[in-house]
Amino acid sequence: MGVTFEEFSSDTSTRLRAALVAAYGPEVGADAAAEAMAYGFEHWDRVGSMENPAGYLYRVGQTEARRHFRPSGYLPAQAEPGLPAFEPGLAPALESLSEPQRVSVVTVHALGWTLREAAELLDVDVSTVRTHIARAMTKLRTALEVNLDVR
Amino acid sequence: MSDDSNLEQQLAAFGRTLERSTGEPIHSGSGAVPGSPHGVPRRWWAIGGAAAAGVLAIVGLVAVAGRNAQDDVEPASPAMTTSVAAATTPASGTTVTTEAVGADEVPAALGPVPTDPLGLEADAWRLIQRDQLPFDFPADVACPGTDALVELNGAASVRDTLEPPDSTGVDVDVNIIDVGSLDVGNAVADAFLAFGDCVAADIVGGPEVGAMSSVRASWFRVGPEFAIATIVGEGARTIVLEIENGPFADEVIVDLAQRSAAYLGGAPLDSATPGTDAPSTTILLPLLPEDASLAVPDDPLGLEADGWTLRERSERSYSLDGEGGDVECPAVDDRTEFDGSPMVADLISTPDGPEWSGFDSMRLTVIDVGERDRADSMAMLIGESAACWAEFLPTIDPGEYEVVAGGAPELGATWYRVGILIFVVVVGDDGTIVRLDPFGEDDAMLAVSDEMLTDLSLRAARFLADRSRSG
Repeated sequence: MGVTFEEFSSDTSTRLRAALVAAYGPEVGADAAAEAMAYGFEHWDRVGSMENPAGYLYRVGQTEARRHFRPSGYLPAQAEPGLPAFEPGLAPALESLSEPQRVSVVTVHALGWTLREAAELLDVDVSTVRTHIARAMTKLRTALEVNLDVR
Repeated sequence: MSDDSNLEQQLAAFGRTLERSTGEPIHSGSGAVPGSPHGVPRRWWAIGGAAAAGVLAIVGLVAVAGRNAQDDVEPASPAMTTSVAAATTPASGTTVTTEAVGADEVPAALGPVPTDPLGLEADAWRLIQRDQLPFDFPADVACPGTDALVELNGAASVRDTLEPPDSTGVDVDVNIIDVGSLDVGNAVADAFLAFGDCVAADIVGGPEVGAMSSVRASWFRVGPEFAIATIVGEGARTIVLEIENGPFADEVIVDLAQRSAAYLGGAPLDSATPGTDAPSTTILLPLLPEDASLAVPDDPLGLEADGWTLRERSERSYSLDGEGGDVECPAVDDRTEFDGSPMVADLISTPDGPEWSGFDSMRLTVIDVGERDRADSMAMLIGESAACWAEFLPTIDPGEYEVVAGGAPELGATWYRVGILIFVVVVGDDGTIVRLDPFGEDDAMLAVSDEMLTDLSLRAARFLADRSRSG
């Protein structure tokens, strides 16, 4: 095994938390990420030898999160003080997306990940992330009644 | 939001707040700064093109890459574009070669394309935009199972984006492409059909495939929202239709394909029936009801009399991995063949009292998937998901996780228990399904009795039987 858990954690824990927060909101997502990393620490002998430990732990976090997840109102609906404002309808619109669409569009467009980074953590192909984003952006534009050409 | 607003900037602002709300930085991505012009392509068929090119390679068309694969979503630089010409070598059959051309040379290679080539304006279609640009498949997108790059990039093309008169949101791109030769056009058509299988495995269920004789016209639909058709002309031109933002009827695809064939100069199509007269005519998805609403009475299972309380009702389309989709599991979460089905979802709270102490709330979803066979398929999918979770849950909490099933099979009412996870699914003769997904604390979920689950499934069966009888 070439990578220690500490090395893995320093590289991955933040991204894992971001993706799960995007999927399930700050409260549940952050807890799920902590649980997933704890699981990774406890089982690093096995997890560390996997092809994509980050992707696996993302699944672990999903499993943990779904025990506590509630279907609406879990994303921040307004900007934190001192930060740029955003459309009040954005959070509900994001929540209306499917989870892969939401995670893809939030990590790439809101958090600035590359497609490849998102694909790696979601353990899917880049093309799949791209498709999720394209569909998500279409739905968001419709939900927010905008007509933006993003090309 | 005004028209001038930028959705990406909104998302970037949202990301800032999301980051702060966690109390710790979560913006660790190494990509572009949020809000920068990513240029995310909204064109789903860019992926199709990538896969198409991949299959081109598979079928023996040797492509010569003239450009670099791109890691992200930036469009190709005009200087990197290529055009496609066809040649034949004795050893390998048709070979696609590329040569670099400037962007301003590309339209000339295609030649003039008339306004409204498919004659749609007479039927009140509206041209939204015409692009005369090199064919621009992003190079790094490829459907799983295909590794080849996109070699049609740079082919001369004209793309018209059109909107039908009924403003249903359906969006049609008519892509007229100079692919170099009839052979290449046929290969493109083959590739797109193969892509249907590929994307079905990776992204959604399907595909549904149809084709027509007389002219090389084939189409496939993947889910209710997307369809692609390829129409190959006798010359170097091929039309690829991209239809998205459905649901739309098969007849829409066929009509547009016929118009495209007429423009390309093919003989009149003698079959307008979707999926007929074709070597591969597997129709997997019936048309979705045009009226996507689903009438569900208040308290369909008669739970309020026992103290249950409706907390929230939503009416929307079903999504396996969205609301009502808690059965997804890593092994099955790409199977979304029921996406778009009308659904009513109630989130209800359980009453106080020991008889219902097993869980604190339950999501009740009523889904109209169209017909009994499809409903049975969905029930099987839920069963598979339960089995999937049985394998997956031990990764979190090793223990005894096995699927326990019960209910009233003769009524199409089944429940599954996998440790703390419980799924109840009941199938109606009219293609309507009731799914119940209870939530609760772990210990309480383990304490939910089999009798309680059977009672709930029988209530659902009675509701569906009444619904079928009432038509």
